[in-house]
Order: sequence, then C-alpha cells, then structure tokens
Amino acid sequence: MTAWPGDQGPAETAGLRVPPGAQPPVEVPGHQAPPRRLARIGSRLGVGVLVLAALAVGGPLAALRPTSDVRERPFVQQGGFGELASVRTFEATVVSVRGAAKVSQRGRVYDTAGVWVLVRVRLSATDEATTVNYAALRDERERSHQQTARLEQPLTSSSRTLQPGIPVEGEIVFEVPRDTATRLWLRLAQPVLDRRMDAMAEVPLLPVPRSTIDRWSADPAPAVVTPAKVGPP
Amino acid sequence: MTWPGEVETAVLPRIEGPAVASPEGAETAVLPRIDGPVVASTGDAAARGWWRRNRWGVLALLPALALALGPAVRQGYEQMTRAEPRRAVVPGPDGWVTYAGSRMRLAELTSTTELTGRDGRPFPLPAGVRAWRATVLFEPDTPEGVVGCSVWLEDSDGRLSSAGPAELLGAGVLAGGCGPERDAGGRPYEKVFYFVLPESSSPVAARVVTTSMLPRYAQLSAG
Repeated sequence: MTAWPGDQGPAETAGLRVPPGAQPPVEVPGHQAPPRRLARIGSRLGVGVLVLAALAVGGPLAALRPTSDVRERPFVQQGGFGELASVRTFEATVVSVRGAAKVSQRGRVYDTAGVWVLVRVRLSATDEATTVNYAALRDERERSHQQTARLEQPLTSSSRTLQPGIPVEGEIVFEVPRDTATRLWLRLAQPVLDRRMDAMAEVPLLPVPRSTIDRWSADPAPAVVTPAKVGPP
Repeated sequence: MTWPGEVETAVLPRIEGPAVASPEGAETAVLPRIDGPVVASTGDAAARGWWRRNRWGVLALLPALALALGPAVRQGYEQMTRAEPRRAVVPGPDGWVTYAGSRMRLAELTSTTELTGRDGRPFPLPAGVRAWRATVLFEPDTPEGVVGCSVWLEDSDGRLSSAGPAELLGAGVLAGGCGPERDAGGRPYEKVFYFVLPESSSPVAARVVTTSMLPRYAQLSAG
C-alpha cells in the first residue's frame, strides 16, 4: 500500500486510492501507453482469428443467399376462382374447369396417358393491347405443367392479341398426370420465356375428387376445345 | 515514442498547480508531475473522439457514393425510358408530324360497319365492339418510306389498341406496315389501319411508333 505524505491513509473512490484532502479524479484527454511486444503479437493474433472466423461464418452465410430464380421470381397476384385477378398488363377470370381423356380440335382427336384439363378463362388487356403467352398449372408438389403444345391454343398464344376493354373468353388446354389433377392452380403471364420480376396471375382451381378424374378418363367421347371469342364484359 | 491513432482519453487525478508550457518548437507538451494512478476512460468519450477524427471521411462518403452509383443509375434510367414510347411528337400548325424520316398526317378516322369477310358477305362484329378505320398520309424522305413501325389507336381513357386485331380476323384487314405497297419513289402515299374499341369508347389520336425512334412516337390527333 502506498503511503501518502501527511495523511492518515488513502480513501477508496471509484477504484482509485485518493489521498485525503485531494480533489477527486477528473477526466482529461491523454495518450494511451504503447502496448508491449507480447500485447502487440496478441492483438495481431486476435485480428487474424477474427478474420478467419468471419470467413468461416461468411461462406455458409453466402450459400444461404437466395438464388437468382428466387430473387427474380415473378410478382404473383393471387386471385379467386370466378373472381377478377388483375395484374400489370391484363385481367383474368377463371370461369370453369372440365377434363377429358381425349380432346378434339378442328376434327382431330388427341388422347393422353394422363388427363386433359380444359380451363375456361376470360382475359382482357388493361391499358394497352397485349398477349398472354404463358399458361401453366401448378400442382401441390410445386411442379408446373405448361399448356400443351400438341394442339393450337386459341386464347394464350402470340397470335391472339387482347385489346383493352374487350374481354375474350376461351379454353386453355393442359395435359397433366392423373394423380396431380385433384388440386391445381392456374398461372398466367405475358412473357412466355423471360418471366423474371414480371407480373403473374395465380388462381386456384376448384378441387376435383378422384372419382371425377376417373369418370373423365373413362369417357370415350372427346371434349371439343372451345374457340376463343369476345365474351361478356 | 508516439503511437499513431491511439489517442484516447484518460482519467487523471486533478493536477495541483499551473501547467508548464511546452518549449517552443517541441512536439510534445511538458506536463506537471502527476502523483497517483491513471485510469483509462471508456465509452462516450472514445466514441466522440472517433466521430471527431473521421467526420470529414464520413462526409466524403456521400459524394463518393454518388460518383460510384450515379452512372449506373443514370444508364438504367435511360435504358428504361428508351424502351417505351414516352415522348409524343405532335403535329405542327399545318397538321403534319415529322417523324422517322417522313411527314405524316391522320387524314381520316371513322367508325365503320362496312367490313366484308373473305366470302364477300358482311363481316359480323362481336357484340359490344365497334370497328374504326384510320387513314394516314405519308410523305417520305426516302424511297422506302417508313419502315418497321406499329400503329396504335388511343382512346379517351388513354388506352391503346393495336392495328389489325384478332377480332377482325376473316375481314381481310390485318395490319400491314407503314411502308408503301410498292416503291413510292419518295412520293406521298396513304395507308389504312383498322382497330376495334369497346362501343363505349371513342378514339382521340393515332400513334405511329418505330423502334429506332424510341422513346419518341408520332401522335396524330383526330380532327
């Protein structure tokens, strides 16, 4: 213990030993004493460990970043069955759904190992003439079944331009596995290929009982694809 | 020895007596003798010191960020604006628009029911739809006339309908281009375009758009 001259012993103040009668400590700017050699080496080792730790944590974190498919996914606008789903360039209403084992178009019959699903949709452009080139059915396993290319799609093709204020109604034809046809969602978008960060309408179709799908598959009569025509407003 | 960047604050015992001035030309001050322990301070004082030392660097970050990001932002904005027809070229006092190497004018814009199908019979229009016919006069500067254009009809709500709609398929009025039927040799020629609008809508102008002229387009006013 330090002996302070002329006093009767130091007092304890905030961890400091202050001689009796002396003023308490004050805070003033000062210079830190240079670290010793061992402290400097320890400091550098600490920095190195921190860098290694950042790299070790950063690598897995970088792998957790969303992929470009997720990051640039379309802006999906949900709609209801029979209700108007409005996206950036067009509006869509799902009118009805039917299925068949065979479909017919322009006198030609098409069969399938799965089941044909025909979704009747009403479409119109919002502000500017446009086309709806992408149509797909999403199933419960997040698989997308695009509209069939085996026959002509009267409504969702580049040749069918939708004019603003003039709704057009027609059927979109899909060929899907039977076990997925019970629960499906219709997805519609303007671009057929590059749908990154573009608008997309998604409408859930009514659930279909397995018995109904069996009845569709057993019906030998082909379902005639309805051509697109100007529909009711 | 001076350690750069390690200036901090310390809690010192109060100093009795006057401070001694530093000698002229000396880099360090000569302080009076201090009896008692020195305790490093923490927290606020150190933070204040950091901001004080780095204030100009922090301020310089703003123009540095602007310089780094500005060109890319400007380029993206220009690409976006060039992709769409956003700037209308309107008719002069004589009613003509000079656009894409040609003078052009909307000669006639009228609704029509006189459409005939390929079989020669009257072409039935869908319910609730009205057909419109626009006649545009071109005075080209070049023999080939205006090439690579699309023609639109703008209604009173600002909606744009395209020429040669699918609703008129079978009436033989599919959209051609803006070029002459044959080499015009620089002479004036006219082109006819057909549109469909809802019965409740009325057109206000026709638009001629060529990709090479974007974001400008010719606005041919009706009447």
